[in-house]
Amino acid sequence: MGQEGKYAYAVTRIRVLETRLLDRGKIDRMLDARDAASALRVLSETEYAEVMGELAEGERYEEILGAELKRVYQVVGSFSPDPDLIDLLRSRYDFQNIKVLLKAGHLGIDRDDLLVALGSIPPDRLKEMAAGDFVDLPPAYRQIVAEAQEEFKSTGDPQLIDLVIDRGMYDYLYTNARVDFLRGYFLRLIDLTNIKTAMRLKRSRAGVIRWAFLPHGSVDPRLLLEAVREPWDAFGPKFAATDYAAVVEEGLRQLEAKGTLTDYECLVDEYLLAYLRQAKYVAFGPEPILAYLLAKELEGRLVRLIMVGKINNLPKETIKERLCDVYA
Amino acid sequence: MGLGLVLGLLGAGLAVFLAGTGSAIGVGLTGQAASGAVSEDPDMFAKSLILQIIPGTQGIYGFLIGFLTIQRLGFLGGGLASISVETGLSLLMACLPVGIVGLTSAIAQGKVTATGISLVAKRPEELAKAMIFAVMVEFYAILAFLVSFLMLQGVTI
Amino acid sequence: MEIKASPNRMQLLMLKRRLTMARRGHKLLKDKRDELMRRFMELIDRNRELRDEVFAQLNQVYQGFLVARGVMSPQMLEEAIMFPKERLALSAREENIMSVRVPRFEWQKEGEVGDIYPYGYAHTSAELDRAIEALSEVLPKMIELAALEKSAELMAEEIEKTRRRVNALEHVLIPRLEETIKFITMKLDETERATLTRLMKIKDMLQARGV
Repeated sequence: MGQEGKYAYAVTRIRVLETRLLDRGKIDRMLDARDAASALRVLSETEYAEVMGELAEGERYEEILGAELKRVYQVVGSFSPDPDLIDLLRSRYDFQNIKVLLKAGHLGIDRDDLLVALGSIPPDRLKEMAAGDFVDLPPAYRQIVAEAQEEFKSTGDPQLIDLVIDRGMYDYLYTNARVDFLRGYFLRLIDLTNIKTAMRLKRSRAGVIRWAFLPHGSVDPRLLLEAVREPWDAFGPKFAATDYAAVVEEGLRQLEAKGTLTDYECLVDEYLLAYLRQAKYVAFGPEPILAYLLAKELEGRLVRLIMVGKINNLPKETIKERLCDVYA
Repeated sequence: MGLGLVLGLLGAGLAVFLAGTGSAIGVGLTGQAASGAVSEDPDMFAKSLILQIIPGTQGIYGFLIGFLTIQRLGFLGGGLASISVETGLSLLMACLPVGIVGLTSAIAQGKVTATGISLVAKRPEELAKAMIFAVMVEFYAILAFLVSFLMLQGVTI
Repeated sequence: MEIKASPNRMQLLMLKRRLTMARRGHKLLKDKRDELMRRFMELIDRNRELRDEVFAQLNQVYQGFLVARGVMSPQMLEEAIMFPKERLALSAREENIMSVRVPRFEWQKEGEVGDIYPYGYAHTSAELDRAIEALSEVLPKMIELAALEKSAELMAEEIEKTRRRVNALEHVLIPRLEETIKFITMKLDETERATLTRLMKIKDMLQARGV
C-alpha cells in the first residue's frame, strides 16, 4: 500500500490535532484579556489545559509552554512513521543544549537550568557526554562541536561557538532532511535568516564576520556580502530577483520607518507559515506531521509574546504589531 | 469438465478476487485513517464508519458477478452445464470489467475516504461532502458492474 | 546661658581671643559651605542630566530585551548572552573636593574581539542587538553616574556637617561668648566702680578726721 498505508493513520490523527491549534479567535481573546492571569485562563480552555494543571499563575507560562511542546513532541513521536525526521527536528534542541554546555564549560559555571528537554538526546545524557569531552556524541554532532571548540580556543571569542554550531547545525539539518518539503523549509529559513543577518551586520556596523552566514542557502553569499558593504539603497534591489523580494522590501521599509527589524522577523514567520500551509494539501506523507510540529512551535512563540506583553502591561496594539498569523 | 467451464470459473474467481482485494485495501486504508481520528476524538467513530464502508461496495459487486457466473455454470445445482471454450472465454471477459475496475476504483476510493476522514476531523459538518467525493469514484465501479452484468446476461449457454 | 568664667581680666582677654577666633572660623566655614553648595549644585545638575540620559538609554535597553524576551525562549536568550565577549576592569580611587573624599572610577575594556555581540545570528532576535548595543553605550555612563551619585551623597553629608558647625558658631558659641564678655566687662566695671566709691569714701572719711 506504500505511502498511503504508511501515513493514513498519522495524517488523519494530525488533522484532528490541528483542529486544536489556537485559532485567530483564541489569540485575539488572549490579546483582549485584562491581565496575564485572564490571558492564561483563555489558554486553559484549549489543549494546553492538559499540561497546565496547577501552573495557573501568570508568571509560570514558560513552564506551560515547555511542557506543552514536550507533550506534543511525545505524542507525535509516538505515531509518526518517520521517527528520523522527528529526531531531526529535535536535534535543533540538542545543538541548543550543546551550546549551553560548551559555554558553561568554558566559564566554569553550572547552567543546567538552561538545558531543554526537547532534544533527541536527554539533557542528563548530554551532560555526561560533555563531562567526557563529547566523545560519545553521534559522529555528525561531534565534528561540529570539535570545530567550535577549536575556533574558540584559537580566538577566545565566545561568539564563534554560536556561529560555528549554528552553521554546523543547518548543514546537518539541510543534508539530513530527506523530504523535499522539510528541505525546502530549511532552505527558506536559511535564506531569510542570512538576509536578516546581513541587515543586522549592516545596522550594527559589526563588521562582517567569517561564518556569520548559514550554508546551503539559495541566495549567493557574495550577494549578501555586497549587500552589507554597499549603502542601504542598494540593499533591497540585491534581492529583487529572489523569492523573498516582497518580504525584504517590506522589512526594509519598516526598518526605515521604525528602526526595528521586528517587522521583518514577523514577515519571515508569516512567509514560512505560508510555506508550511502547503502541507494542508498533502493527504498522505510526512509533510502534515512536520508542518504541525513547526506550527506548534510558532504558536508557542505567539503565546509567549502575548504573555510577556501582558505581564509588562504593554498596550494591546504594541503586542499585536509583532503578532504573526496562525497556522490553523 | 471442459476447458470452457474452467475459463468460466476463472472469470468468476477474478471478479471476486480483484474487486475484493481492491475493497480490502480501500477499507483497510480508511480504517487506518479512522483509527487515527478516533484515537484523538472518539466521537469520530460513527462518521468514520460511514466513510469506511464506501470502498467496500466494489467487493460486493465483484461477489455478485462471481455468484451469477457460478450460477450460470450450474455449480449451484441442476448439473454442470457443458459449454464450449468460446462461451467460457466470453464469461471470463464478462467478469473482467468489474474485477479490474473494482480493484482500481476501490483503492482510489479508499484514498478519497481516508482523506475524507481528515476533512471530517477538521470540519465535522462536512460529512456529506466527503461522501459525495467518494461516491464520484463509486460511479465508475457501478458502470463496470453494469457492463459486467449485461455481458453476463448476453452470453447464452 | 553664659559660659562659667570667673570675671577677671585674664578671662576677659582669653574670651575675647576666643570670640575673634570663632568669628573668623564662622566666616571661613560659611565660605566653605557656600563653595560646597555651589559645587554641589553643579554636581546635582550634571547628575540630573546624566541620570535622564541613562534612564532614556536604559529604557531602550529594556524595550529591546522585552521584544527579544517575547520572541525567544528564555533558555535561548540566556544562552545567547551567558558568555560575555568583553570584560570590564574597574578601578576605584579617591579624589578630594573641598576636603571631601569622593570616589572616581576608571574602567577599561578587556578581551575585545571583533564586535560586542557574544552570540550567533541564527536564533537570536535582531532586537537583542539593539539592547546589547545600547547597554554597551550606557555602561560607561552608568559607572560615571554611580560615582556622581556617591559624590553627591558624600558632599551633601559634608554640607550638612559644615552647616551645623556654622549654625553652632553663629547661634550658640558666638552669642554665648559675647554675652560672657559683656557680663565680665560689666562685672569688672562694677568692681571698678565699687573700688572707686570705696576710695572716695575713705578719702572723705580721712578728710573728715582732718588728717
